Amino acid sequence: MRIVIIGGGQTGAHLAEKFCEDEHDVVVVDSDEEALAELDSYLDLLTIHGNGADPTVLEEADIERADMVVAVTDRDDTNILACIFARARGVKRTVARVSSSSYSSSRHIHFEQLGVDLLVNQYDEYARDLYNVLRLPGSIEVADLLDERVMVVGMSIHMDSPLLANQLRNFAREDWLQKIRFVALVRGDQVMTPHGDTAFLVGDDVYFAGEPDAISDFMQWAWPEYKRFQRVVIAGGGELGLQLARMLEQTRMQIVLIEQDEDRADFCSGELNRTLVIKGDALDQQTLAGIGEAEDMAYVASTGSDEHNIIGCLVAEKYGARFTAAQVGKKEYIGIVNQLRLLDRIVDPHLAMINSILHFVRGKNVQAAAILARLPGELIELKLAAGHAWAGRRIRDLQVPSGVIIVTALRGGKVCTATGELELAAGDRVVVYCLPAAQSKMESLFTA
Amino acid sequence: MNIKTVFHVISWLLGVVGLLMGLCGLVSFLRGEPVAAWTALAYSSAGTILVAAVLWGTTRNQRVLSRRDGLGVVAFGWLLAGVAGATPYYLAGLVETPMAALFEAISGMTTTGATVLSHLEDIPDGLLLWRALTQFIGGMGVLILVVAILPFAGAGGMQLYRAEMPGPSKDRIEPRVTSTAKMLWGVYMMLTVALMLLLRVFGMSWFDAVCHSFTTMATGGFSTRSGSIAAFHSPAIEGVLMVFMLMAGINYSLHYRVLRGEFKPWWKDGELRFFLGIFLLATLAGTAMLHHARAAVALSWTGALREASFTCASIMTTTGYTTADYDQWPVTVKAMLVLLMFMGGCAGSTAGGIKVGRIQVMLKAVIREVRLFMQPQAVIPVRMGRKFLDDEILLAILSFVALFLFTMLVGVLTMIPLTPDIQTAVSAVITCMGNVGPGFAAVGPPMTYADIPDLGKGLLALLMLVGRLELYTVLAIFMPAFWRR
Repeated sequence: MRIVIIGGGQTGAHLAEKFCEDEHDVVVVDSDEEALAELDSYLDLLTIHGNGADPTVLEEADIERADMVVAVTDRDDTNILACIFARARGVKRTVARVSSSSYSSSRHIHFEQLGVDLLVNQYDEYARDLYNVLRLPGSIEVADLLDERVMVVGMSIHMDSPLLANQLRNFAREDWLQKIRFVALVRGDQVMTPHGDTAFLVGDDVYFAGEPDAISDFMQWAWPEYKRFQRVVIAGGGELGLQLARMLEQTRMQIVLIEQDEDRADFCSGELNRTLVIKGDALDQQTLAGIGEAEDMAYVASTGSDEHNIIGCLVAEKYGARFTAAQVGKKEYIGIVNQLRLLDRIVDPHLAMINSILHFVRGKNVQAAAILARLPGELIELKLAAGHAWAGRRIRDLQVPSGVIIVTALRGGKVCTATGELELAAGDRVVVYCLPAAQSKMESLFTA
Repeated sequence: MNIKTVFHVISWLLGVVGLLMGLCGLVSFLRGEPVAAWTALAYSSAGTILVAAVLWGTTRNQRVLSRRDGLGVVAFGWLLAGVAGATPYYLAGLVETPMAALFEAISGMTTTGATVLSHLEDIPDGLLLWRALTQFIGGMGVLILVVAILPFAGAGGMQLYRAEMPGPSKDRIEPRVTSTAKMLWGVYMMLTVALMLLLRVFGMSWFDAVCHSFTTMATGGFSTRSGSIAAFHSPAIEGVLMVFMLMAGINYSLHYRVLRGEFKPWWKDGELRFFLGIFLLATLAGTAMLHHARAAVALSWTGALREASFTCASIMTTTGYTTADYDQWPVTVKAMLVLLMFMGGCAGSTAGGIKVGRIQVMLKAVIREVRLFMQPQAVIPVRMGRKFLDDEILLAILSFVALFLFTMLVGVLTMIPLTPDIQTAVSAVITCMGNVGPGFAAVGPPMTYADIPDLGKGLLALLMLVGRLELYTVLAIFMPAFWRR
């Protein structure tokens, strides 16, 4: 497939890398020549210098030969315009990234009719991501699968966790295994798929999947002293902060939004109902002191500056925040912050987006169900066609390649936990997790 | 440079060279040629494949190529392919010293066409075919062929493409290097086959048609006759060859676009217009000068046009076919031919030389300087097509031209003691570095390079490589930084 990416920034580069791995023909258009030179030096792609919404530049990129256009510059109007032009030149599929929710939530303008097949609002994606983590205290990351009917949750194993006791085959509470499926285990740099002999250790990050209620109950049991957050402080009333606050208003948590800019603060307070909007500097000690200390507090930093966000989280920790998350854009910082374990969570501004776009790019029977930032490998959804080798057989009897694990199945709107006894049927939507090493073996699963 | 990775790729290259050599041996055997001829090819083929297999076995390494690795592969790959390609000449006893054989092989691979062999009619067909084949694979680039036919880790192929493809801008039509390489070789093959059929139609034997189509599209210039194209006494063949030489001197991505039905870029390409303009101008000037030459060499208008147009096309595209001993021509024509040798063909073609595009940019830059001298406040852009060239690119092009000329100067000074006269030294260096072939005086059209001492042959072979790989790829390996890991 020939894919033209408009915008060679961080998201564009990340996508280009993924597409090259999948052996697509990639053309990147950007107005920054240095960024293009950098891309060209390590990826096998064509670069075109110029503004992505300029028709002559698009002609230069042979836009009419493209099968798909992905516009991910940091300007919403450029992205939308590029997609409209691409459609006018006969491109079948177009994706535009936008950061303002006024595009993605517009009810009167139908972007599909204009020529934008998929409009991804990056901040909606991040906000959902954070909302999930805040909703499930103790989780390190959460992803929704199968139209939000199933959740995949990552959790660290602590000293007094009941999971520590035995090997998985002698699991103390057999009843949980009917509702919860263990998917993966991250130990240091290693990732593995759990099996009967697996025993959990302190410090492991374990990932499991199940229906939301079951997950919630299971986490209560696995980590009882982890209480729900009572208050969430959001520093920065940008698109992400505002969107997150909107979502959190559906819960019972107390929400505080700190915004420095007076106009923006006014705007936010108008948009929100029960959130307390404070005009001030999130790094100023008095601002935080004014809110008052709270034991079960979470702090989310989403100002425009990576540095402010990181420092803000450290300050908040001093004021008793039990959970801190920061929006960090620079790759270099993400590595260091992760290494030092400074924050509980980094919102990587590319990942959630890339997830949505890859979802759109892949074929009909195969979908990337979700990407989890800290879990290497991939969660892939496949629909069992009639005559698929798995249809009509029990999971216990299947020849699943090593490093691949069946996570869950959805049959006629009903979620079936993937126990060994489950018999798969044609028409099932099955979610599979595969380790990075096993990704090449996945091909056989789809053709089988 | 990562030696293991580099030699792993080279092992593939040698494998391809060995197989092709074996193919020529088979042709030789089937045509019932003397045992010495086909055994020379067969032994060389077997030896090369053996070396390739050993290299392949000892250096299994899947790492991606870095830029330096790419340079290393191309520089050493070409040298080793040259050595492999030289063995049949030596084993068959066509040449006296190994250096002469190496000269012949490198001259072939770099599409220079300078030869140490005379009485080509007496040489077995298998070896003549191999000689033509070296030019064919060197013309479009043997590593680009390897990239096209073997699955390469994407970025690795790109490094090879960069290091081997001639021309100042390495723009690609297809996003992926493998597809670009396939496209280039596809167009190259198509044109070659078309030429082959035309030559056959106009009276060449199949064997001559194959050999000449190989060496024409590569702008190489090896013939199967000592008298080169003159030996065929056919205006039709000369006409066909002239057209295809000019096509070979044009950017292949333009041919590709034409095949896809896009004719516009062809007409709009500034470099192509300049190239054809210079060709027409040189032909007209040459015709006039040949017509008005001294009585001994003067030609009728039609005769002059025929000789001048063919020779200008042959020299400008750095092919090096001859239909006349232009060494006897008036000195004004000879001076013009030297200028054409410098210039060469278009970027992205199989021709050698400095490349028309670079000369064009250089001239524009010079004009700008002159205008700025008169009017210092003026803002005068240097454009290539519609593209504005910034100072960085301009500097790169100008320093390329300067380095090219300086290398030539050093070459000439070194060659003077090794050749009978200065004219020979100068023309030998210019034609070898420009990948043209024949020069003047002792290396003129009817002569060969056989009498140049081995040291001189080695130096000229090196200059051919430097010219074909456009300086930096070869010069880089003399830098200490290249060898660091």
